Amino acid sequence: MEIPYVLKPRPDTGLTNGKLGIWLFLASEVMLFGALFSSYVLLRVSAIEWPPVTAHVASGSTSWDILNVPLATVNTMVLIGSSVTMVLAWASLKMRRFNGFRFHMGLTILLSLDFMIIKAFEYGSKFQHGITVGESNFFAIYFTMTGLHGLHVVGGVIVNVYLWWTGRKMWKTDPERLTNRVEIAGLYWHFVDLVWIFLFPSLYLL
Amino acid sequence: MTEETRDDTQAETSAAVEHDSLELDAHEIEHMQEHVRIYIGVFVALAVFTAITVGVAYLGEFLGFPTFLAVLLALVIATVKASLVACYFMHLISERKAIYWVLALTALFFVVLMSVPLGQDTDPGPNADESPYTQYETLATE
Repeated sequence: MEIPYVLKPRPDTGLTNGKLGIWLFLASEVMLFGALFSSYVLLRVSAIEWPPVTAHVASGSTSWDILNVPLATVNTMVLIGSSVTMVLAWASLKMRRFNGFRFHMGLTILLSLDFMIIKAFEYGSKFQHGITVGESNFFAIYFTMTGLHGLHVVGGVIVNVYLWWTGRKMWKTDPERLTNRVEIAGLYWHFVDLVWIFLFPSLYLL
Repeated sequence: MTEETRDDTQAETSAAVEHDSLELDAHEIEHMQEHVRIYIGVFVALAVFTAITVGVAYLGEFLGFPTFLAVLLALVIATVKASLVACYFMHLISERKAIYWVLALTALFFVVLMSVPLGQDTDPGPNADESPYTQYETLATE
């Protein structure tokens, strides 16, 4: 069976089905992350002290003392960079420059992996000190939110690698469809970037 | 443009792009290049705003901003950054109505979700001092 309205917009919505689909999915993602942000606010305002005092966290500490802000700042730049290379990958296809797409999509994938490596270092240094998700409410919400965000990054990398790897074949048979796919993968990827834009100050800086 | 003519144009485009060597007209390329310049500009703005967020938070730590002000500043900057990403990278600045409606509904539910903590009793209670962390507090201050 052929999927309808892949290239041609549906007359009633004015959109291809893929595009409306990804936006509905992103709407559900807003609620998923929104629930966690809401929980974070509740945990925080009802805490006697934030971050809570534990064997590893002295009274009067701030998130600056217990999380690695410089590393997270670099990671923020890396993720923003991957968003711009993603949109450039799509723009390259729009300009019928397939090599430009390969280059920018490759860069997007490398930057995403870089983000995950830096994140792994951050987690690693916490685990080394025996700090895990059960340490306190602060670390529980920190690991849950950054962990869920990290899973989203992994999901994005899988899709982007697939498009990068198989793109040439589709470019020859159906270039417009490939362009749409890259646009939709991009919408998801920018959303993952957008979540991080709120996660970074909420967890690391405040 | 009627539905029918739009379909015709689409069909023509689909047929034409089947060839790798197809050259787009100069106008369209120029149009995309203009977009690319905007994307680069947005990237620079996002990088600058990230530096500002960290700088402001650092200054706030150093000078002892009230928590309310620090939270407000951080959230305002994050919202500006998120809007840039949504408007330009996600093309929300020129999208179809159906998407705006989906997002308006999402925004409404999001506000409800974020209001949930407001109705909660956040008082730690009279036994707060007996929290299991109190022992650590003594350790840390010793």
